[in-house]
Amino acid sequence: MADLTIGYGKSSRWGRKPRRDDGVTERGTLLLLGPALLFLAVFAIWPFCYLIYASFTSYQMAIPVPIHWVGLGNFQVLVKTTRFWHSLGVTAAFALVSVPLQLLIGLCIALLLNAVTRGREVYASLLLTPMMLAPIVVGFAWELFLNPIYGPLNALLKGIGLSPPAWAQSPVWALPTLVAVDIWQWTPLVMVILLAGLRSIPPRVYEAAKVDGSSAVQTFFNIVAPMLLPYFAVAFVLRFIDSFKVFDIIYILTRGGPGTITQNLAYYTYDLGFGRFQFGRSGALSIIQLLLLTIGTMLIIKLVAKRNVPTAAVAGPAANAKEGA
Amino acid sequence: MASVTLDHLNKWFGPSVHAVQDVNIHIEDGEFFGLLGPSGSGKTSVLRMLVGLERPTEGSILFDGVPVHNKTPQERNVAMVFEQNALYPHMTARQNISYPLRVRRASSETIARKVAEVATLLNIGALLDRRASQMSGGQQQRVAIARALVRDPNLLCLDEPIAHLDTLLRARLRGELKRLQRALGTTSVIVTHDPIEAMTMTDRLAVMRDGRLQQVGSADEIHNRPVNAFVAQFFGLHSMNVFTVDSCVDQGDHIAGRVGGQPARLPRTLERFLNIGRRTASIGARPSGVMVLRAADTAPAVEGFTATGQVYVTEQLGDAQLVTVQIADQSIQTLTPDPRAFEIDEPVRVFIPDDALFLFDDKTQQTRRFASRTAGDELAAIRSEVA
Repeated sequence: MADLTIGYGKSSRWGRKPRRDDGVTERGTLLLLGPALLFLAVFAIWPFCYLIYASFTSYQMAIPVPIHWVGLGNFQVLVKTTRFWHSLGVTAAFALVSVPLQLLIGLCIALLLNAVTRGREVYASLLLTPMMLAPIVVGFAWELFLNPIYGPLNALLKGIGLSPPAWAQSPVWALPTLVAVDIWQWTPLVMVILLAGLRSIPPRVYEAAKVDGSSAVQTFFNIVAPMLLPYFAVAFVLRFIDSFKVFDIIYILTRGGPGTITQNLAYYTYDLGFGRFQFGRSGALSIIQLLLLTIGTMLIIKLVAKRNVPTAAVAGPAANAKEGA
Repeated sequence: MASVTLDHLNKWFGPSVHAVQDVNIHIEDGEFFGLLGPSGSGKTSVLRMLVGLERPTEGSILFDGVPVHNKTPQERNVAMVFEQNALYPHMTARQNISYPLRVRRASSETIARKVAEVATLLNIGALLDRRASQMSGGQQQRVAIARALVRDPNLLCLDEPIAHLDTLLRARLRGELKRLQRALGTTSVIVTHDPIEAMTMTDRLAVMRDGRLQQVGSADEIHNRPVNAFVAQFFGLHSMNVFTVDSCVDQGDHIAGRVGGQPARLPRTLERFLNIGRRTASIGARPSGVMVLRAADTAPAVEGFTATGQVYVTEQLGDAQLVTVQIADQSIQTLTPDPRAFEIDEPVRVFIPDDALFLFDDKTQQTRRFASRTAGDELAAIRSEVA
């Protein structure tokens, strides 16, 4: 008791604010958070603000002309180029074709795995491998696999009498190939999220449905799907955001080619900024992507939130079993 | 509604677990039947086979004489109320209750009418638009019962439906369930590990242990005529005392024996077990049939079991107290209205009148002698004499 009194007296004599229960003063809190905040300010907040500023200027690196304010000029120029609209289309191919396919295939695998009783963990870990590999490894592995001369895929296809294209170099097949690699790499993430969702549904719910006379199809659409929806939304948002950032596999497999056919917005941004040093225009392109991403994500969340489905975990009666009937 | 017959029912889980062993039960149409037993006794396996969630390994299940054990739950038209957590969490109470009708493609008028009917019956009209997470445990179970009753099942199966609720609510729902079952006349089977639930709600019940049926009968039969020491100990408000008296010798007017080395006296009426060459007796007595006396108290004038020991612990139950007496290595519980405070380790005498004594075979544990049904009245008379 005595020690506590002395300790408290000391801090008041120094004019500090009273300690909280955990003994940390408000000044102490700031001191502890300070380095992290400073780091964020220098390496994230400042560059972001500078990016916004740059997108309204004519800033070009390595060219010694004065930087001047161009207002929305960069944006106006961008939306008038066909290259912008083409890259937007490539990004859309990842966001609106690859991601839905990942969700669909991931759901099917998760449902299959959920039905497996022996060795589920082993299968799940094996299926997770593509996701755990470094993107550069994925890129090179696929480059070798798809190589028109040495690659095993084309050797196999030629072996059965087909004449396969040079996948990554073909104007027709390059984009579908990249989408396929993206699906291959990221379907496991969707699968693992949805599998967690399926595992959270209590077995009694399935049994109750069976006793209620619900067929397997009815049970899936009326009971499993709605309970899985929050998990589905998490997977959708995560993959949607990532689909805007696809860069590594494009860089390794096609370099945006042939021509600019497989350049998405991210690759185009990189090309503008680090290929041509047009930082103002590249910044404007980044801002456009950010806006599209924000709008898209909000739409997905709104779509799911409207259904307002409680997760299986919060539905247990244990917490409130004590109230009267 | 249907009568239900379980014919030589067996269930194996894997090659080594014989969960249900040759169970034969006939349940009358409209009967409220209880399956009672400790955990692992196989009672839930029997229920799950009745519902159709498990297939019997051997034997058959008949509804009104027609085999159903290869049919789905839907084809049997059975309904089930689970222990807890079985409502569809994303649906409201109304959607939960109407689900069995919706999957059967009932018309919306039929659904609305039936839901309103069961909601009135279970007094949950105000809850219909709530989700499971917005209801208490008791409310959830009412909704689960409504969902089971909404489609007029042939058989209603209840798997510990009120075990997770608090004491007061459990007592209330016991009564409600019993009235509901009587009013509807639906053949019902309840699984429980609680003898009070089984006793108070059901018409007849079966006691199970280790996958085997021990006894089938009314609560009164099982309470007063238990077939073996297990049923006697398991069934009842307080567990029956079963203890061993060894080194028994006929002394003419009584039998002298020992309880864990302590001398004990048994009434002459138990000589039958000595006649078959046994020196050891397995004696049973319900706590309400045992008296605890201080050294200064006058000995009762009637024949009975007597032994001395020490008070191990006393538990106040309000209008009575539970006194546990330690006699050497065995303990005997007595439920006594005696208001005197007994001290821990106080030396006392235990007296059990002849009429309150059960006798079990010390080898097979089968009951050899039942206590008289009027043992309680006699005990009251003795108590008034002693006082």
